[in-house]
Amino acid sequence: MMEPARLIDECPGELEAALLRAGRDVGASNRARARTLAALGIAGSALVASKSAAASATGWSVSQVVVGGALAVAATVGVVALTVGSPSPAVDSVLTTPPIPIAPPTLSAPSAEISKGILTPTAPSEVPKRAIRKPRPTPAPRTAPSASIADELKSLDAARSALSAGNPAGALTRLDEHARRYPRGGLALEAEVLRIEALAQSGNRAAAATRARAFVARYPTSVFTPRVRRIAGE
Amino acid sequence: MIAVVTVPQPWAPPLEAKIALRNEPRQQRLRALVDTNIDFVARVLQNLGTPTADVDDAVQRTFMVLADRLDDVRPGAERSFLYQTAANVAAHARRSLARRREVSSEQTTERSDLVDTPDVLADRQRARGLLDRILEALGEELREVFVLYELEELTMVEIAAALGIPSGTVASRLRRARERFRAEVARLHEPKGEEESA
Repeated sequence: MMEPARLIDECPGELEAALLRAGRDVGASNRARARTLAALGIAGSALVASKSAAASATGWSVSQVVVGGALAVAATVGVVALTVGSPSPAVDSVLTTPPIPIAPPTLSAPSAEISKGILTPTAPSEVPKRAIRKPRPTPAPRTAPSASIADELKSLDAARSALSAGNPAGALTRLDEHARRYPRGGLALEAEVLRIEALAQSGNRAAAATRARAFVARYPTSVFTPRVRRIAGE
Repeated sequence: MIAVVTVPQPWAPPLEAKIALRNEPRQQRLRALVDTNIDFVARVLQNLGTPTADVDDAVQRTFMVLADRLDDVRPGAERSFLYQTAANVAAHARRSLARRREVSSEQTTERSDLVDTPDVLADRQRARGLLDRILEALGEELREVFVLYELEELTMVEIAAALGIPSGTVASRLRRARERFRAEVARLHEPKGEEESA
């Protein structure tokens, strides 16, 4: 099938080019990256074995960034980090969306591998319009969160590591330290979930359930709420 | 007297550690997918109308769905899965926004990767706001095709596969989307008086 040239390559006017660049020159924030890694419990996962798989799926090379040293169990260890009593406004804003039944895509649907090279952010705005692509610049993948959020993620990952190693008491100690160092951290919600799970694993199910119920009441629409509900016995 | 000989037992890792070890390749696959696709997911979410303030949360949700279903996702099809999931998440976010009756263009969130001057940042935010309005005007069907072709540079065949529609439909939607996009851009050039009297 003959495909038309992209609008960005058709000598668009200044405004049109600026609009198209605005849609291309965006990516995940450092906070989104850290929250995602924390939620999945993979901040410490090394990438050696998966580099080739990632490259085959995207055509990108994968930087090996190891924020922490822990193996994590995403399915069993949540994460969450926020002192329920003092959530940051940013975290609150994230949690105000209504409950969402997000249906995963139908796996039997035709699913072509979405092509490589298409995910590269565009060149800076001052680059002349036809110089924006061909070849499209390929910046290094931004795999490392910024220093402050990376430190917070590392701190949280230490707690997760302890929990994954069967040491909930150690996890709670690290979470206490985490709360002291990052009282208004960007991973507060993830820290609180991890604390609830550590309490449950330590055998203090009453405390875990109490915090879990408080969490559910405060953040009924959080993506973590189903997991926390189970701990609360709801 | 019977001597009791204690045979040293090999050290056994705790159950959780065993699970972690068993899951290591899965975790590595997941980590690689996050690292290589998170910008794509964030961009798709934003271009499909997720309010700026909700994008971080939506990125997290999208990857959590992937984590839940990872074992069912064929290697090589992960990005398609992520796109479809992100589209669902974005649709929900748009509905939530409508319910909240808030204005997404007034919401900003940290984009700490940006190191632009205030002027450049303001221009970028203005452009973002205008683009959001135009994409909204396209409607859902045209918007998806426009975003995937013009902003993500997928081929029509790839878009057809990702959306589960015939290539001919992709072509016709793209043609209409481009016409609409250009018409909307042209309207931005019109003096306000003309726009209001039209």
